[in-house]
Amino acid sequence: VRSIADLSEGVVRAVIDIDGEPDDVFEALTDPAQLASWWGGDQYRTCDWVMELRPGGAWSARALGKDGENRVHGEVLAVERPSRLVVTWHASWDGDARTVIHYGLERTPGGGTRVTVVHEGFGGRPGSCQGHAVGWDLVLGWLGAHVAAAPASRET
Amino acid sequence: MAERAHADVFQAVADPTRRALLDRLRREGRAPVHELAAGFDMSRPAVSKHLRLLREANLVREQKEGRERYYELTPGPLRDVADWAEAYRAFWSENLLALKAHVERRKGKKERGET
Repeated sequence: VRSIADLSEGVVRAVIDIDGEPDDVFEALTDPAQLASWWGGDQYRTCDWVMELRPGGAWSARALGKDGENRVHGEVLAVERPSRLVVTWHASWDGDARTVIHYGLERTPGGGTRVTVVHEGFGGRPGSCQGHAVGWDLVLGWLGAHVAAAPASRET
Repeated sequence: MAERAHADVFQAVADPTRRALLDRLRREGRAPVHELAAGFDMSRPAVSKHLRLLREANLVREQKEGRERYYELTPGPLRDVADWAEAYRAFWSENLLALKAHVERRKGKKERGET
């Protein structure tokens, strides 16, 4: 996985290559039974996934962890099976603030799938980060001057 | 994942006019309202509204001197923005690995004829 917090654009971007058909990856991202089986880790489990797979449809899930129960929910904004999925994201631990997740699925020459995630944290409209006279790179500058050890971009 | 303590900060910096105001304060250090409003193609009350939102997010500080109100940048709350980005960066790293493991496990089962 390569994941980058790009404060110059106000987004978090992550890319991973998966050995599987785009259709199967899309299914894993949208089928409630599959989501419950993989979404989660050592810290928490997810359950009760609901996914109305159409523009304007609602989705939601419960996350159960050591610190109790959280809820995530949102709206499906765009569905283009198997190449694109755009949803809004409201998490209870995140103050229910509205952010937007764009999934892009692309077939790779080797027959696998490249998944690109762009998670927009600010404003929440596709493209809202571009074309403004004052960009997010300045946010970095303000931070750099006043905040010690601000995590900018890092790779894993 | 860190609690988003100041949801206002995100709303505050999402707007290009408010980012421009913050940038001007960063460059000029401290400026009176009329000077800040001068460079914008909008009414003084509109600019004041943006400044109020920045104030509520604790990104600027207002000081009155005589009849003039001065503004100053206090960018500390922007730390929340950086924390948000870092938390989700870590989240997606972990989550996409879980997705990969899941899809590839199912593919392996399918190829072996298991269900």
